[in-house]
Amino acid sequence: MEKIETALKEGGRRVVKTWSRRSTILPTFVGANVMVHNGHKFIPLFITENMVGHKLGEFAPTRTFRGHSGDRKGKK
Amino acid sequence: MTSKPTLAVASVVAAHGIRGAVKVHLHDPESESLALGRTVQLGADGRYAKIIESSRVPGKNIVRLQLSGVGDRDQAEALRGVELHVERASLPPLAEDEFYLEDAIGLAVERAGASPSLGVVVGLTSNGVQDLFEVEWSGADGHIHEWLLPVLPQFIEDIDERRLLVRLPIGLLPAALELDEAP
Repeated sequence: MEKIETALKEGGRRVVKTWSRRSTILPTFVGANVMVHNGHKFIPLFITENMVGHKLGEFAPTRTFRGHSGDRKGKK
Repeated sequence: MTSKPTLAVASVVAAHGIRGAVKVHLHDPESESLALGRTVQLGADGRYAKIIESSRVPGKNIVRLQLSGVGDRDQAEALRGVELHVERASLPPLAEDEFYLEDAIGLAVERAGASPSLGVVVGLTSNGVQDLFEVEWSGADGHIHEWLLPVLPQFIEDIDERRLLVRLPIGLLPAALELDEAP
């Protein structure tokens, strides 16, 4: 938690790696970039308001998922 | 951008009823590409069919379609597993800052400002809420390594025919690719 708050104070320019999947996402985490371990590798996650109250592990799936892009769009 | 003329938007998962309707699974849950009256291609090189009826299954990522030329259950069953392609020209135009994720696959990833390539986008995955590009790069040891790039506007600076230009926070890349100083 301290690491995430420190990273946010630095302007969110640093990613915090964590193995703590059971940590609850607090309102102060919003805007942070974290990488949550899924048992195999770190999964990047940008924390948004909608994630508050959930656990970090909910956003780092432990099973392989290969998606189809379809007509999904990205923004630059 | 290396754009194919069509996009695979859904795949047939089952037949529905006895009149040739099919259930299709949308690759993008929010896609509106299978609207009534639109023409779809059955498979990358398959025949074209028009959507005669289209209804969304509530609460699921499934659409029930009645396609022209598919009149009975046997014909519908034969389509199981087939991907439905839609012509790009028939889809709503993209905003200036938007791009199809499909177009990024195969592009080299480069950091804004001169630096060596950070790898090549090989696929798409997700953390459940955000799309992630799978980027492969070959390390000094000769092995292929992979890292994940979130598809978020703050990380993607630009995209063109050849490369995906990114602006990354410290720590997202594997240690071997990180710069010594913050960009």
